[in-house]
Amino acid sequence: MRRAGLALFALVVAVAVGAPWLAPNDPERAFSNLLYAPPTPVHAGAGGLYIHPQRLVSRLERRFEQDTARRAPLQWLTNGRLVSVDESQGGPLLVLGADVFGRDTFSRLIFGARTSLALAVLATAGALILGALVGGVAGYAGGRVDELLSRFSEFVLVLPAIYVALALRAVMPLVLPAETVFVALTVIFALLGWPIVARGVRAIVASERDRDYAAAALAAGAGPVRTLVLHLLPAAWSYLTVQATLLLPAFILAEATLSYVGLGFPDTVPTWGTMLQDAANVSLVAEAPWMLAPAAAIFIFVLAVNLTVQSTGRAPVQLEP
Amino acid sequence: MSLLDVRHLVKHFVRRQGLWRPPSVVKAVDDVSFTIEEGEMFGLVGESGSGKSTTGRCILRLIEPSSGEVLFRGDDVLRYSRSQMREARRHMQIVFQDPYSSLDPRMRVGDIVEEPLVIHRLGTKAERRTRVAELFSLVGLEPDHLRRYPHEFSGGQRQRIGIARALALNPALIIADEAVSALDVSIQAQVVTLMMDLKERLKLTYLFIAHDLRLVEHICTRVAVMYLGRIVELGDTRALFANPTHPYTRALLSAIPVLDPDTPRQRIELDPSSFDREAPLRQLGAGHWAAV
Repeated sequence: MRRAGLALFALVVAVAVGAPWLAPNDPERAFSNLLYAPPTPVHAGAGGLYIHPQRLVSRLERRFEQDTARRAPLQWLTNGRLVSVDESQGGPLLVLGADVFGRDTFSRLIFGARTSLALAVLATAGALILGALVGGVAGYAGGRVDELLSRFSEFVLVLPAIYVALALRAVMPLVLPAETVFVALTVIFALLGWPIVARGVRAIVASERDRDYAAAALAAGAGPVRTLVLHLLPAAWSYLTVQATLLLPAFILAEATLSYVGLGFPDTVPTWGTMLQDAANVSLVAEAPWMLAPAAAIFIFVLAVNLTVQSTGRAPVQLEP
Repeated sequence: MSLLDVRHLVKHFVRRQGLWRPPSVVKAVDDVSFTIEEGEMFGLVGESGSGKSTTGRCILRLIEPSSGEVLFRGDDVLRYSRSQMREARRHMQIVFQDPYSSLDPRMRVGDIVEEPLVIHRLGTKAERRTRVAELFSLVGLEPDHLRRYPHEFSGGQRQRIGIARALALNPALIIADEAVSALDVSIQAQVVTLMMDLKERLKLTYLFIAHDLRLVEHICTRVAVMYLGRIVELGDTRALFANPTHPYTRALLSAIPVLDPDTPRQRIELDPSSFDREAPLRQLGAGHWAAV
């Protein structure tokens, strides 16, 4: 299972890294005649793989027709792309259809993976490290330090996260370059995500530190840092992995929410969040289900993380308190 | 000079009981004094909760004592700074009661035994590995098993790993905190034999904390009996077992199971009002004191 998870994880990361090469179309390119166009099925026949060109029948009804008489062959390794269909030949190739502006969903999906995954992974790592440190120190030190750190993390915990995120983002200028938004969101998410991690880690470290192996480390001359980092925090490992699987999708969705209210990434930057917001319309889901592709991508990514971290042969998984 | 000289050791645990009630004080160790000579096997016995484990841990400063002095080779370790204490830990080590919780379940046993050497920066990686393999054969374990995890070993084997870890720094004093109580009787015998053997080979001194009186009678040269945080009787094993003076010692000795079912058991019930708990130790004979 672990190997399957790692393979899936590697696949997702590889797709994100290789996005410029793998994407059949420019993610920014809007095909004005292909708003909400459905996917173009790939057929196999003499002369290799081909698609039928798609033609707009009724703009109002969003009806498209495939010209089965014509064949547009897939072109491999042209213009620096793995596979594409030239527009003059009857393209474009729309693996997962097109969105409201006629942009290729598949290309946006794999370009969006770069931003979304990097943001979620960095923010999760930040929240876990911060939470493990605060919780570890609180659980190890006990007494006043514990009281202080625990009350503080509870204070952050009871803050309604979405409003805090909104407020923190709102004090910054409305229009920011995408890189600045990326850093800002990473920091905001990490600052909002750590308390629940800290609470769990504190409980685990506090109970583990009374066990004899911690006393044995002290008796051997280990200082508090060594005892905490090498002996006690590893006990919280499975808890941290579970938290990671909870935080990763939460941060991807949080980015989506912030982008929706205009405080995240601008719509021109493809992310899974901005794409999902485009799909936030019930009637649309029935008519253009391919718009939900980012949700499937999130599912696959979380599955990969789950399979990888939860079958590392450690202690049984501890669920959220 | 004695190897270890414990003087008026006190440990009070203060427990807060909410805002309005005064905190309660548990006198876990209440004015305990004894000395241990080099090469001695000193037994510390008493029932659960009598404070014997706390005494052992206070000596190593795993628990900070409330007051008192612990002179190790004449120096008071309670006054040591953190770095002095770290240095002193090379000479005094502990073996724990529970072979399960005393080994970090997430570390390989080789790393567990090596850790004291790493902490004190002794030797190169290769030298440490050799030393760990040596220690493993010294305590009767297969050096091939270094890369296993603690859960792959039996209780007796785990206790041997705990002993190997305690021996890694070549200590002079080993505090065996109920080191064999959690083991089966046959395994107990093996581990005790190992400890006695190591005592001869490595010139060790033991503070042997136990509640099994027959074991203590068998292996210890001197014994102290603790009751509710105080030493009530102290003396040479033979003298103390032959002529127990304190009512608590008598009750304790009468509780030893008798093997022959036909022998009538003469169980002495302890009457706590029959003696003065505050009485100081009084010398009864050569090397035999009792608080009567």
